[in-house]
Amino acid sequence: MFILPEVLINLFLDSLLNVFLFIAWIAGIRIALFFDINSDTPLQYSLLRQSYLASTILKFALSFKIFLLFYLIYTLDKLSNLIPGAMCAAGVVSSNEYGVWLMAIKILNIYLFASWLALNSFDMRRKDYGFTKKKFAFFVVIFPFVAAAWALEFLFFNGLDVSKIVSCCGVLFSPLSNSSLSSILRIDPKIAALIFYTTFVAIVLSFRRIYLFAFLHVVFVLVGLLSIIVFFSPYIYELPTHRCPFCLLQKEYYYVGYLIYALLFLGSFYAIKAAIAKALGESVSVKFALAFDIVLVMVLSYYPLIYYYKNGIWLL
Amino acid sequence: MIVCQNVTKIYGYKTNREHKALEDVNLIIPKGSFALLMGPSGSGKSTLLSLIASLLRPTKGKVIVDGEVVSKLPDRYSADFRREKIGFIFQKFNLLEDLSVQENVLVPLIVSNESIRVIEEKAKKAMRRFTIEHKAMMQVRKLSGGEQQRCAIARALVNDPPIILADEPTANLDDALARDLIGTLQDLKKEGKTIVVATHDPRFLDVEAVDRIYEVKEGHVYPA
Repeated sequence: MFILPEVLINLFLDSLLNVFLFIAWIAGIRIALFFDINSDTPLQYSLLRQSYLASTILKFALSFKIFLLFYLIYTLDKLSNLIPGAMCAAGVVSSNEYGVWLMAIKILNIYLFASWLALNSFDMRRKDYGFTKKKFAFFVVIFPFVAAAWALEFLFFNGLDVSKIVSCCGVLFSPLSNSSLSSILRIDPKIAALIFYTTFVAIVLSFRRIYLFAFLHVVFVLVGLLSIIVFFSPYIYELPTHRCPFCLLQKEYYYVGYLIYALLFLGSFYAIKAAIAKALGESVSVKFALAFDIVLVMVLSYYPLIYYYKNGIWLL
Repeated sequence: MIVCQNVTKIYGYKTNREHKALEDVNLIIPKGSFALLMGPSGSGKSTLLSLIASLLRPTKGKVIVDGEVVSKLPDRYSADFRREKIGFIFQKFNLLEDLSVQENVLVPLIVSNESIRVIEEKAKKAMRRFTIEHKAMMQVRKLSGGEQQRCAIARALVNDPPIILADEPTANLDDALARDLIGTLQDLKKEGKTIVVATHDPRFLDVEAVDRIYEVKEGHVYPA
């Protein structure tokens, strides 16, 4: 295992948060099973107290874990200096069999965490604990994913090997490579851009139909990632052959990747939150989702436009 | 109306320091009545008042105030409930000694959404009513016992709450001040407020306005 401060911080914080989450999970099982607001028994009053404490723990720990994902990406990027062949986090992620699964489950988890936090915020507004049972039942289901991500993180960091040469992002995200990604990456950049902007327009037009709005946001996350790799990243790097979703997290590109991915996440999160609100009969707002989407589109569109303005050509 | 249904309060429940303060208390205090909870120290009077004010949660049973089950209110709502419905007069006044009289009276109004002008007007009105306005800018620590009690009452009533809970309100007052306070509570009852006083002061037994007396003994409540 790499004994780097960043790796230790990741593992330590994740472990510490998971200890608290485990305690909340135990309480969550009891609450999901036995909570009954109409009951006046000692058990019910005990569960009321526990639900308040467990909600506070979960709110803090899950919020913190969302930020911790960005720190994990930063750590992976830093590790690229030590792994032979890796130029950015992409090479580190693909350096052993756990990396891709780790990233996949971590990304899935932030959406699960965000959904739980949304549900919690609706519950905390109510006097009647209307969603308390539901939110703890949901957390009971989420927790195995938390544990899986933690195990994968240990396996991943433990499996890093400095003697093994890995592929850099130039190879991994090349349409000419033989990877499973390459067939997707062979998509025409113009088509990718068209799909991206069409999805965005569809989102704007669908803001009154909340479930469609949320579904289109899920599509938008995937389309966004694809179009960042295929269409936008060459403009960000000012290199027609460089397509990587990780290098834009580096200092050379002013860490713009953190902003782009945060906007992509926040837009989709608020859309999912709006759908949850509608499903629960709470007041629905799409303004934050739309605001983050618009800023994301503006930030991403800035790069091709400024490139064209400076050079007079498109990188297509 | 204040209703307690099978209320039990055990401090340190399921620990080795368990102490049963109240057991299966059933109580109905109608709106606009003046109720006394009489009993010796440690009988559970203060615990009962704290449960009615949603300062404590019972171990079992429920407390209903004006149709709302306050014993299960989430914390943020129980604070709203206390601010809107309850005026609490404490035995030891519980004033913020480094603040002035006016600042103490303003405390319950800080979190309201009203304008500063309205808030200050309310505070002045409360201080005027309890003849403490002339000491508005004086630090509470420099006041006499009677003045501190008047300040505490002004603070408890500044929000015009419909329910007044008083925990041993005369314990730290001399006879004249105690009778003055009893008179104030009678006036409040005439205004239609519900008053619950936990006390072992026998002077309250002579008060005409009192219409319900309960004896609190070893955690049980009996009509007297």
